[in-house]
Parts: sequence; C-alpha cells; structure tokens
Amino acid sequence: MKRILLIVALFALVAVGFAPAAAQDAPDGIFPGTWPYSLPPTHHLNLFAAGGPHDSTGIGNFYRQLVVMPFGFYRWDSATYEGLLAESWGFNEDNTKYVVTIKEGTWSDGTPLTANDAVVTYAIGRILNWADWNYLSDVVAVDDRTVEFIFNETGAGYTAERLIMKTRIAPAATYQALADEATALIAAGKTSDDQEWTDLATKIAEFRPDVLLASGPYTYSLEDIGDSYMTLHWQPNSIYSGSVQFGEIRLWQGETESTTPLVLNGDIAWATNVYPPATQQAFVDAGIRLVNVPLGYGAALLMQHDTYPFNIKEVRQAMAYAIDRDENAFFTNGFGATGTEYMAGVLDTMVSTLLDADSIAKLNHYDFDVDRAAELMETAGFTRDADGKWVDAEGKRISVEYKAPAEFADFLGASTNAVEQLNEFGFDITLRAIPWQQTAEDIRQGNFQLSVWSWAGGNPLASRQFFGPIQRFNYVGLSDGQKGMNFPMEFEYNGEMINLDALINDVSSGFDRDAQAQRAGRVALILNDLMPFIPLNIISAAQPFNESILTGAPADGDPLYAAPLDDAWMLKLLLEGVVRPAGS
Amino acid sequence: MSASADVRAVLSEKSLVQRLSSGTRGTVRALLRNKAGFLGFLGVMFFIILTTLGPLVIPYEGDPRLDRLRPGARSLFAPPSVEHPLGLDVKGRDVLSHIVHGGGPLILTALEAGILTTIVAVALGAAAGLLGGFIDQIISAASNFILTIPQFPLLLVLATIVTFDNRLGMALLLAVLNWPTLMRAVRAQVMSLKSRDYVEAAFALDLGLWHITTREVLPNMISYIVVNMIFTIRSAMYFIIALMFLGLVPLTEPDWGMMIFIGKQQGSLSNPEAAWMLLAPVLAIALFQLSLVLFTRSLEEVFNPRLRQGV
Amino acid sequence: MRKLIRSYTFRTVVQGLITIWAVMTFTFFLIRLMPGNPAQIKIDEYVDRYGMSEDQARQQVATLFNYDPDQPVFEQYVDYLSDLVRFDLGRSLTSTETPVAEQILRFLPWTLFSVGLALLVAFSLGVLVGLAMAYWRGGLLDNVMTVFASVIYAIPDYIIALLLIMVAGVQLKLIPVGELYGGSTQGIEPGFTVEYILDLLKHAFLPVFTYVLATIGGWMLTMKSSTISTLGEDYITVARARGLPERRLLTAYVGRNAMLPLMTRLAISIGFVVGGSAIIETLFLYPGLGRNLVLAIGLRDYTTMQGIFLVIAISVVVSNILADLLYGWLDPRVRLGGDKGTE
Repeated sequence: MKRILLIVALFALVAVGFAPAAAQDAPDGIFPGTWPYSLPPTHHLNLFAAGGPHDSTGIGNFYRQLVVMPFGFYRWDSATYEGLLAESWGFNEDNTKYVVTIKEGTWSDGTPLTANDAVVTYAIGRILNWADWNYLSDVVAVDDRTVEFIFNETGAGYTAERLIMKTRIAPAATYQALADEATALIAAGKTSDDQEWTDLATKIAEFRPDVLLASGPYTYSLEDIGDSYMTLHWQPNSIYSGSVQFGEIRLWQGETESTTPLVLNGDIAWATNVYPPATQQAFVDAGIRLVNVPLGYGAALLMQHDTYPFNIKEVRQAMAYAIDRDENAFFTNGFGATGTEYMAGVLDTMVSTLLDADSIAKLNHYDFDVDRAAELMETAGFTRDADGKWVDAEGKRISVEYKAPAEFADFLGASTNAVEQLNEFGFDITLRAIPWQQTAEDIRQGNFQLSVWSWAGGNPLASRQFFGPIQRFNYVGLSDGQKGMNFPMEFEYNGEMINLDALINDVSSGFDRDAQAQRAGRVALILNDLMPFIPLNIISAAQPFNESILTGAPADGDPLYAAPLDDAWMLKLLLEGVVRPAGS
Repeated sequence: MSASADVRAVLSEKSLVQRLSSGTRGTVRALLRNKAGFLGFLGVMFFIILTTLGPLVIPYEGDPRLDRLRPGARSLFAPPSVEHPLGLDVKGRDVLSHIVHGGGPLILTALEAGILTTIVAVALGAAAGLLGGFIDQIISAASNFILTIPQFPLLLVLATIVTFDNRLGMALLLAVLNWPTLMRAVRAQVMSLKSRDYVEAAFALDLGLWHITTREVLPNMISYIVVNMIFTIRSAMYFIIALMFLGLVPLTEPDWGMMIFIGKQQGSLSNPEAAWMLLAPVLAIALFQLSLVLFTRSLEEVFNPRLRQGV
Repeated sequence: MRKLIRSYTFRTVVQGLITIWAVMTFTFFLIRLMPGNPAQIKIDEYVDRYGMSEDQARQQVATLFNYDPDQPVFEQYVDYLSDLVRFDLGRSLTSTETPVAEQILRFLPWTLFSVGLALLVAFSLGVLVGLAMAYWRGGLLDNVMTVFASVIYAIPDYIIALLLIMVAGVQLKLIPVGELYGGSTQGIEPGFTVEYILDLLKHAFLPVFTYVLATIGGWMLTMKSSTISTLGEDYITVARARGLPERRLLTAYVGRNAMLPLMTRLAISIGFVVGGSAIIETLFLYPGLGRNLVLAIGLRDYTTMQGIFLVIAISVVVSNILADLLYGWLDPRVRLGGDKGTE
C-alpha cells in the first residue's frame, strides 16, 4: 500500500513538473456579480454573431473582457493605455501603422496566442463591416507575436488606436476557416455589394462553436448558463490565470429590480446597474459600501430648433440659467448625479485633459440665476403675463410638449424636474412619457419640441465626447430625411463662416495634443455660447461593493474610478488579484 | 326593429322605472339592512369625500423639497411621521397630500371605463346569445380577435397615432379592449337562460328582445355583472397608468398612477422607509375596491329580492 | 358533406382558423409599425454604450442581423406566410440564425408548468371558497374572505411579487430568494425522479404563489356572485322544496350552474397560460416564455415576437372553442350555435 502511494506521489510530481500551467489549482473564491444575459438557445458561443458572448445579451461589455481579452485597457485619468494581451503597442515613426506585440501566452486549450489571432479576427471583422476598417487598409502578422495595422490614407489617429486596442481578439483555432474564406473574398476583389460577401456574413452568423476558447482567465460553456445565474470558470492557461483570486465568477441574471434583493441578501457582491437613490439607501443601511463610478454620460435637454422660440439663442441661454442643475441632478439619480459645471460639451472630469486652459477660463458656467434668465427673456422680446408666464409680442405663451423616455428612471427624473423648474420660471410645458424607442425615433425624426437624451459618452476622445447629441441627433449625423434637433451647423460666428460639424470631426485628428486641445476649446466655447442643448448633469452609478464578501476596492476618489464600465477599475484589479475574497 | 317593438320597449322601460320608484322605501331599507353592505356604502362615501372635500382641507405639496433631506441620507423618502402620516415621496413631498389630491381623476376615468365596458359587454353578449346565428358568429369572432391581439404592441403603435387629453377617450379605448371577457360570460349565460321555459314563453309571446333582456336575463345575472364591473374599474385604473407611460396621456401630478409608476421605478419597495409612496395608492385602490364589493351586497338584495328571504 | 359544412363544430373550427390568420396578419404588420426596429435599437446601443458614431454602428449592424429594413413589408409578409405553411417560424433576428421554434420549445414548458399549476390551484380553491361564501352568505367566512379577496385582487401581481421578495425574503429572511430563483437548480439531472420534481416545485413556488395570490380573489368573488345569481333561481327553490339534501343541492344544482359564466373566464385564462407573465418571470428569473417575449419586444426581434404571439393566439382561440363545446356538456340545455335550424 505504501509503495503504491509512493508511486502515485512520484507520478504526481512528474506530472507537476511537465505540465506547466495545468497543475495550478483553481483559486477558491467565488466572485458574485450580475449581468442580464440571455438563455440558450438565444445565447450561443459565436463571438461574431448577435446573441454571442460579446453581445449585450451575452455577458456584456465588462465580463466579456475577462474571457476574450482585448490588447489593452484605457486609463481615463492619465489618458494612456495599459496592456492586457499587448506587451507593447504604438504608432510607427511615420504614423502609417499601428504596431502591437502580443504577450507570450496561450489560449485555454493550450495553443499559443499569436499575431495570426489578430489577423483572423480582423479578416472576419472586415466581412462584418467593422468600424475599424474605416481606418485600416490591412492587418498583417509580421512575426509570431507582432501584428501591424496599416492605416489607410485618412485613418491614422487616436480614434483608430482606441478601436484597435479595445477589440477583443478571437482565437484562430476556432475561426481560421471562416477567416480564410474572408481573405479569399478580399483577394478576389469582392466588395460588400457582392452576393458572396453577404453569404459569408450569413455563414459567419450561423456558426455555432462548441467551445469558447478564452485568452482571459475565465471561460464558460452553454451548460454553465443557468436560469438564475451562469458561471464563468477559471481556466489555467491564461496569462492572468496565476494572478486572479477567484475560481468562479457567478453572474446572476437580471436587471436592477430583480437583482436588488440579491444584493441586499449578499448573493451579489458587486453590481454595475444604476440603482435608484432609495435602493442605494437600503444598501447603505445594510452595511454595503457604494463606489461611485461615472457612466460617462449625462442627461441633456434637447430642443428642436425649428420650434419657436427655441431657435432664439437668448431663450436657450435663459433656460440654461433658469434650471438649478444641482437640484436637477439630485432628482436624476440622487447623489449619483452631479450638475454640469463647465457646460462645455465634454464631461467635467475631462475638461482639463481635453481643452486648453484659455478656453476653459472663458467658459460660461451658467450658474443658476433666474434674474439673469429673466433679463435674457426680455432681450428676446418676452414679457410676463398676469400668471407670471412668459408671452411674446403677440401674447403667445411658450406652450410646448416635452417627450421623455418612460423606462429610464434617470432621464425621466431629470425631465420632470426640468419641466417643473421651467414652468415655475414661466414656461408652459406639458410632459409626456413615451417608450424609449419611440423617444429616440421622435428625436431623430425631429418630431418633438423638447426632449432628453444623453450627452458626452463612453469614449474619451474629444471628438467623440462632442458627438452626442449635437451630431448624433442632428441632421448631420442622421440618415437622409431625418432632421433631429435641426440645429444649423454652418453659420456665421464672430464674423466668420464656420462649419461646426467639420470642426468637431477635426478635433481629435492628428497627433499634436496641444493643437487638439485648442481645437476642442474652440468647439467648447461655441457650444457654450449657443447652447444648442443644455447639458443638465453627469450621471454615475453607485456600484454596491459588499466588503463582507469582497475586498480590494481602492478608497473613494481613487483615479481608477474615473473610467466608465468599458475600462472599469474592476477589470484591472480583478486581473491583478487585488480584488479578492474578503478574509483571504 | 318595428315601430311597435319600439313602443313596447319604451313601455317596458317605463314599467321598470315605476317598479323602482314604487319600491324606493324598500330599496333604502335593503341598502341599510345589510351591515357589510352599509359599511361598503360608507367606504364609497369616504372616497367621494376624500377626493372632493379632502383637497379643501389638506394643501397640495407639488414642489420638490430638497430642504427635507436628512443628514447622511441618500434619498428624500421618509417613513410615516406625525407631520406626514404617510411619509414623504421621492421628492420629499407629503404622500398624504398626493393621495388626497391625486385620486379623483383616476377614479372617475376608471368608473367611466368600467360602466362603458360593462354596457358594451352586456349589450353584445345579450345580442349574441339571444339572436344567435350570424350575429353571434360576428360578435364571437370580434371578441376572439380583440382578445388575441397583443395589446402591448397595439398600444405602442396607437400611441404614435393618437393621444388623449380627455378622460372619455381613454374610457372608450378601455371599453373597446376589455369587453370580450364579460361578453363571453353574458353570452354563455344568455344561451343557457334562453332555453328555459319562461324565456321561451316570452319569445313565444313576442315580448321583444329588450323586454326579455332587461326583465328576464339581466336580473338573473346582475350580481355577476356588477362584480365584473368592479373588476373592470380596477383593471382600468392600472391600465390608465400604463397608458400614461406609453405616451397616450400626458404626465400630470398629482395622480395615484404617477405615484405607483414612479414609486416602482424609484425602487421604493426596496426600502421600508420609502415604501409608502407606492403602497399608499395601491392600498387606496384596494380599499376602494373593497368598498365597492361590500356595497354590492346591498345591491344584491335590491336586485335579487328572492335573496332577501335568505337561503 | 353538406352536413359537415353545416355542422357546428366544423364552422367553429373554420372560424377559429380564420381568426388565427387574421390576428397573425394584423400582428405581423402591427409589430413592424412599433417605433424602432431591431437594427436601430442595436445602433442606439452601440452609440450609447460604446461611443460609436451612428454611421459606424449602422454599418456594423447591417451585417450583424439578417434583416433588411428596406425590404417591402408585404414581401416580408409573403415570405413569412410561405415559411409558416411549412411550419417554419423563422429565425430570431437578434440572436442571429437561432430558430424561433427552438426558442419557444425551450421556454414554453416552464411557463405551461408554472402558470398552469397556478391557474389550477387558484381556480379550484377560488371556486370552492366562492361557493361556500355564497352559501353561508353574511357569515364569518364570507366576511373575512370578501375582505381578503377584494383587497388582494386589487394589488397588481408585480407588487405582490416585490413585497414577497422584499418582506419575506430580505427583511424577515423567511425564504432564500436566490436559491428559489430560476426554473431548477443548476446541475440537477432532469428526469422523472422525486428529487427533480421536488426541485421543480421548489423553484416554481415563488411565481406560482404570486399568480395564485394575484388571481384567486377574482375567482372567489366571481364564483360567489355567480352562485348568488343561481341561488335566486326558481329551480333551486323547487329543488329545495322537493326536499333534496343540501349537499346535493349545492354541488349538483347550484355549483354546476354557477360555474357556467366562470368557464368563459377560465377558457380565456387557459388560453393565456402560454404567454406567461412577463413581469413575474423576469422578477423571479423564471425561464418562461413571457420573459423571453419581453426581451424580444425590447429588442424588436420581429420573428421571435411573431412566433410567440402566434402561439398565444392559437391557444386562446383553441381554448375558447373548447369552452364553447364545454358549455354544451355542462349545461345540456344550451343549444350550441344559437339558431335552431343548424342541428
């Protein structure tokens, strides 16, 4: 008996010695999170089709990065990338290429990570019309671990960089065959108008791989997707397998309402939903820590500029003065929202990074001031009637309708409060709540007078920050025939003709950060003066972080908390093993 | 319908009125005699007084009250206190004042909708059951169609086409969408009654549909119909809330519907201190329904005199 | 042959088929008139969440979905119809290429089980209690139950569900909410075993209990009122005068006749069993069809919605036909089809 044990032990030792990573044991902890994933058969394992892991109905934009990793992770506080799969990255000397060297590592099946994985990913992405290909002409594997992204004539820039660094690289082992077909089509000179192209796109969508090869430390199969939670299992072969501290990531299904009791009961330890203030209070009362993390956007009051009197600058400015944005923020999401300070068209936290100091100093903060608002109304030719409502020269009140999305608690809260405040000031606004899809559609069609949608956004580049809503919901960014806000983008300003649309598109081009800041500063000042929309507030999520289950969240105010979900603090700290089971 | 049938209809209507007025004293006595029914009557009166006279006594709090934020609190919700017996809502306003000021319009619209639905359902059900044949098939097909149409998409699409600024429009829409269930019950009952001797006799005597319906069929079903009407009133209340948030009706405060929707959206049930904004209007609706149900006991005794003798 | 065409059953079936077709067609166009379309909703998601430009998102979404928004709706309808006659419900738009039939088969059993069970419990309990309430009218049982039924029936199901979770689950910690969520425990072997069946019942507890609470009041009060109507009828008085035992009177005469109007309600409820309850299934993470329907509506997944609505339409129509046939059986006096010449 003893001898058998000895032999077994010997074999075990040998096995440990020869199987490099496989001998590692899965860490003990379970990380209890949540995501509203869908169930199979809606849910499948194709990384390139809707309904797959990458989709919002899959495991969403945070957890997917723990399974199939991108090259890098963006630090919003320092405007730099940190490598995830990438060992080094950057533009070449003449800025014609972006060169990435991939870390030495393996997929979950033990096959090495190579440059070919990136080539395969982008070959399929090309058939699927990925935005990346607007900037690229080719993707080439230079050697086993170096891949070059060759820009087209206009492609080089930080926009393309972000797309490249954030694209999750799919495994060649699974997708090589499809990629070969794609490469063959390109070589044959086919375009997206050809039937072969469409057929291949359908073939890609129909593909249903049996296993999900992971470059990250976790993976799952369809059997792991339960009705109430799904499990991401630790796998030993990732670069990060040795550092993560959880053997399982348990994702509870459900949205805000169904996850609330689970957070309160300690079934869920970290959640990224936006919980309303009453629920936040309940969490605090239950001893759960809340971590404030920006969502990267806020609520903006949109005007349809064909609607009198919103075509008058002074009226718009008066509205900006007449709304107490701090109060509005509180009714948007309690302490999970702050009134906009700079009114610059980019997030307040990004102002100092993205704009030049001169422009920042010149920004009008539109501090709450009803007297100043009243002056502006009078300048625009309005007087108050007996009921204190503003009437124009013809005695007409500002009787308009305000459409707000009924499902979005934050936007609806911002809207009811804005309407209350404006009516108090002397407008005559009727609020109508409609389904969000209808709201978006009406805004696009220009079929509204006042409404609400997001401004700024989850992309740190200035041109992308300015994008919504002034381009997104304006005729310049919409399909033909849709006018949206219909704010004229070409006009005379300070004696010169400008094209605001072109100015915004140009803001982040090139590589000169100072010149970019100056261009951004100019755009910010124009928006700040003309107030084509009112950026009411900036919303953040109070993420519950249950410290009796997890530990390792930095103290409040840590610079890591500056990033929205796509570049979330948790990603870095989970991978590095800083966030770990409490008490370990 | 022939002229003589018209005359007969008028005559029988007159006789109904006569019957009711001659029995007024008996009716009042019946109303009072049943204790539970009387309690229901008092409940209904309470809601009438609450929504009509209440607003004169309790001032309305419409403006947000950020100043009521308690130190360290993350929301303005507050549990019931002496000053605010039903607590504070999401904007720090007195929930009681919203209950008092926000019930009238909802109750009225729901009543209209309930009565309208019942009339449509009973009329069509009686017609289908009594006339049978082709009419029955048309009505049954229509009811199947309306029952089966997915309502949510229908309302979404409807909201892009029409908006209601008055109550009657809403009540009409409700009636159009909700008559089939009761209609089918009435139809079934009428079919069953139709073959009974006295109805057949009435047919034989050519007493006219109106007469048969009002004198023979309806009294027999009245308590069932009334309960259904009460249910329709309840459904209408919640339906109106849905209409508000599909854009068919503008959002206005104060309104019980707003309280329920916003209360749910703001997670007020996740926090016992915040629950009253949502529970108060729901309980109000529940008590209103209870009052109506209890009140029907008295009505039963009025309409179904045989019951007065007890079983 | 002529007899067949004139027969009531035949006509009813034809009428049912026509209704299903009409509803299907109406629904087909209706859901395409809903604001937003699957592509636009995905575009909005990409723009809102990932800061893509509208153009980029549009390009990407165009190939992501096998859906051409520019194809004439009528053409789409003809395509759909030709698939349908081959019993092909099409493929999901938002989970690319997943067959709709597969989705329905995956989720429907759960809904049938939970809602069906709840309906069975609520209906039988409600009818029994309602009958007793009417019979001992004015007694303690009647008074207590009237209050209970009126109040509980006025509270919407989602509030009952939320209260159940928050009070019993979170405040009092009486029920382990997380453990009860879902349709069955993960990893348990499905099969005809005691263990599995108990597990199914355990997981169905929250939705079934909520459905029962939310609907039982309605059954009790309608049964009571229907019984009261019946009690006042002549033949009951006659039967009583004939000295029939009370129990027999109650079950054979009163109960049976009072059930009649309830059968129509029951038929409609049975028809809607397949649709499940979106809100309850979503709250309790129950893997039913309703939860999937909500997802499909939110994403404007036309084919999935269309498939689910079709299944609901068929079951409502079928159960109404069955109800019509059932009247005849419950009350032989009812002459089906109404007019006297047809039989």
